[in-house]
Amino acid sequence: MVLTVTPLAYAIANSGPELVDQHCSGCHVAREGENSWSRISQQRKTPEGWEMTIARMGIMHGVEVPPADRRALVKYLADTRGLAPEESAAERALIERRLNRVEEFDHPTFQEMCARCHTGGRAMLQRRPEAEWDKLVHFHVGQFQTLEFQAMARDRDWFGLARSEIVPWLAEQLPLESEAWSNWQEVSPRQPEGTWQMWGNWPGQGRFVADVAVTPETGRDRYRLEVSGEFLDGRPLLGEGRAVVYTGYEWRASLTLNGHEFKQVLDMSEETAHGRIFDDADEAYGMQVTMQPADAVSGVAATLPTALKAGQSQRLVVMGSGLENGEITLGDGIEVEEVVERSDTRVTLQVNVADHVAPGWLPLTVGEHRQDELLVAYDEVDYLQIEPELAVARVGSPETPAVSGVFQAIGYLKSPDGGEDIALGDVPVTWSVQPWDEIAEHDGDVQYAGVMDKATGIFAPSGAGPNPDRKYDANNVGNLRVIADVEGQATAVQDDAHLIVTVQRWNNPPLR
Amino acid sequence: MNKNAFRTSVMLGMGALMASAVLPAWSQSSNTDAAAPREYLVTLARPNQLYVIDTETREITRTCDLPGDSAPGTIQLSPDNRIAYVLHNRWEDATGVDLTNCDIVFRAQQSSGNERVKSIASIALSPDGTHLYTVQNPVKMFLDHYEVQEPRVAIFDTADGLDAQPIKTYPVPRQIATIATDADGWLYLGGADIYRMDTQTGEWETAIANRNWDRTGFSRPDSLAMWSTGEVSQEFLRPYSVAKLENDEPVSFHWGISRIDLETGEIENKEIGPFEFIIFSMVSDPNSPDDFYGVYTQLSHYDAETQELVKVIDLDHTYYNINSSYDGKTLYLGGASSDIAIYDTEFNDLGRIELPGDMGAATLKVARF
Ligand code: HEC
Ligand code: HEC
Repeated sequence: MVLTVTPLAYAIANSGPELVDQHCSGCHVAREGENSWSRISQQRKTPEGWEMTIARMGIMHGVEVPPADRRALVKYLADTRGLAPEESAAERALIERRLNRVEEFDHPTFQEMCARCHTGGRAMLQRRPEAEWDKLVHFHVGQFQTLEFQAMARDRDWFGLARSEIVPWLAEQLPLESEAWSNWQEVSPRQPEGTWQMWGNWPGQGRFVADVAVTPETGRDRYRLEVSGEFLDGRPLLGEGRAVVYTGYEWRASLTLNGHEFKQVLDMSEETAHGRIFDDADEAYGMQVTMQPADAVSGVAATLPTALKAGQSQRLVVMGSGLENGEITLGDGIEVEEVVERSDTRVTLQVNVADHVAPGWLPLTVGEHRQDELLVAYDEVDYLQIEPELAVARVGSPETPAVSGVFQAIGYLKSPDGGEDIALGDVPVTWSVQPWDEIAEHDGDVQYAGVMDKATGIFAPSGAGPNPDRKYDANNVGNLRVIADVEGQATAVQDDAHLIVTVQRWNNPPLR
Repeated sequence: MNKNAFRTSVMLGMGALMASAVLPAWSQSSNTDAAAPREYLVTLARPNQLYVIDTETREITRTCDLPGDSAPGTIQLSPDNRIAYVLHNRWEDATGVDLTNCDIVFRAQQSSGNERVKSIASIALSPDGTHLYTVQNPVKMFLDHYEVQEPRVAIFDTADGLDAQPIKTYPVPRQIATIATDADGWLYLGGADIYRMDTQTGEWETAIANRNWDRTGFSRPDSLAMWSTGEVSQEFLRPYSVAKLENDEPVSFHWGISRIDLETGEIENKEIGPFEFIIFSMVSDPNSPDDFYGVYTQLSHYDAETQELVKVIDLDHTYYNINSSYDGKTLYLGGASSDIAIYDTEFNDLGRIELPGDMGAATLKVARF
């Protein structure tokens, strides 16, 4: 699965131009040069970006496209007018629907002007010439004519400033033509069929590693996947799904894992793919995953878990390639009790960690492969950081499923010699919630807003709708402090985070 | 005479006829003192109705169907208060409804061809009722793109019937919402600043600087003005919120008002009390111009002289638009939901009037005839 250089011909899906002619050229006039249409050929964006534009053509301009044609159009447009991996890199979190983050932009007013109705990342995931950015501003004011009268717009000349200050700034950093894109078009697309190894940490379920068999399906860049693996405690993890690769690297799958339906987004531009698996309706409920091809040349790539606690016998899985032979050592104080399973790509061990093990990096060797800063031993957690620091959960109703609060407590070891502190990954803690402030206390937010699972850090919001027990029949909203206390050590270590439980969102576009 | 104009004049004739036939009987039955005008509330509710509500009996006197949908429902009254001019159909149409018989007596559909025109709460009448003003925000809708055009004041002749077209237009700045005329015919336009326009020439000047005010120690003000009330106190009132600054840092937050006396043309701009919660709309007490009542989730009373929040109560739900009876004794809260709340100025709850639909952003006007 090595990336090779070939002419760009691959990208041109045969039926694409015909579909654009059929569904779009009534308004978007075909222009000189092959496969060029007004506006459409002046923009590049992600598959989700194209999906949303076509959806908008339907909602706002009455353009009806049958689902199969629509899928083919998105595929064609994303393949031929997509983003290069470098161009989408900064906004992977938005594509992966990690919503609990604070955006930052290198512009004094972009946030207020453009990132209050949707993320600013929505613009960052597009490329256009200046005239097209300007048309986008005309679209906003023309379509949403009260925009100029809303808070954060009525205190300034919104239309004028958008055109004079935002448009040139966007055009400069997000141009239609780029070297990254022309280079990317010369690269042949990923051929993902084969066996992969996937690992991650499923909230509430635990760390897992699985084999993923990817086989081609009819249709361009379409695949079937079969997942078979287990959690660290031995429970099975089984699943299957279907995937499409857009723009040569944007993997989008629907999959079922142990009966739970998920979406998967991966960036496959590098040999090892990174991305996220999440619940489409409850986007906070998800996990970062790594997928590595079985034939990757990696040595020791990762371990599960990433930190071993002193005084315990525990499971340790080492992933990578070329692991089948040779001695396995983990440094002083770690004894390999049993090699449970061993293959070229994976070694499953039962290890015993001595009480007196020295906290810090463990030198890990498997045969000729060695990693000095991959696996850590610790006795006590020095400090904790809850992720995310601020989360927004949403009450649920039959039409709009709840959005959970999903937290992890990452433990850290302070570096003894003033070097970098060492992250231990998520460590066992006890979770609880408290009112964020006096108002929340007075309004009984802890009682009404939902329930925090003490063991998993997953907060399940209450149902939507007016609650007659609350002041003004308020909805079951809340303003909460989330607290994690480290378990199983003498020194008390705690961190807190902010959880806002609010009302439903009525539209969930794939790019916020 | 074209066909439309012909139909218009016929319908107008019939409307006038019906009005004169119906009015005496109706005014007798509902008026105890035939000489004194009666007070009505006028508002709109979904899907497309205009309501005339008798304030004394608190009953709906008349339900008039509007063409198209009612939203958002900005209302201005003719000088004799018998015709309500309504901005509706998603801000696009201005329609005159005779409140005594529900006849549609005027209609301007502002959008035409590939130009979509919306007026964001901007509607007013000349003091003699012969002309109607809107601020038009046009957008050209081309095949594959939009082009936002410069806004303009449009002047209509209210006698032009059901297919009225502007008789004149003048360019104006963007972001104008509520507008009003004073007794001398000046047209006030509430935009970034409040402008005063000569409707004969289209020339305008700044009457009250808001965004562009030059007040050291104050932030730029923020004003939400979507409700065209002020008929009771004869004023054009625009509340704003503002921060007082020290070394460019906010030290306190205040409510203020920009106001034009529509009888004298006198202008005023001042803080009236602390900013502690959001207010959507305000009216002044017709008997005491420095007492202001505001509404949103709370009902509040500010005394501009002492700059104090005199009283505030929590409401059972949010209301958008507040108005006052002409005697200043009763406050009416409308918009947002389907009930109009009635309070006295001590904030005693005097009851509710239920409407069949939501009022949304509709104006709650007080009419006397
Ligand atoms: C009925 C006419 C019509 C058809 C058919 C139509 N569009 Fe559009 N399209 C418009 C209009 C009008 C605009 C400008 C307003 C807007 O941005 O929504 C537009 C804008 C766009 C834009 C620019 C959007 C932006 O963010 O600046 C893109 C891209 C686009 N269309 C793609 C398509 C595609 C792809 C199809 C075919 C599936 C299509 N359109 C079919 C009318 C149409
Ligand atoms: C008042 C809220 C609001 C503000 C402010 C706003 N947007 Fe949007 N934006 C929207 C909505 C609504 C859509 C349409 C979503 C859809 O397709 O249904 C949109 C769509 C977009 C899209 C996707 C268009 C496409 O079809 O590809 C981009 C890019 C975008 N906005 C950028 C911006 C920029 C840049 C600014 C600042 C100049 C801005 N937005 C300000 C509400 C807003």
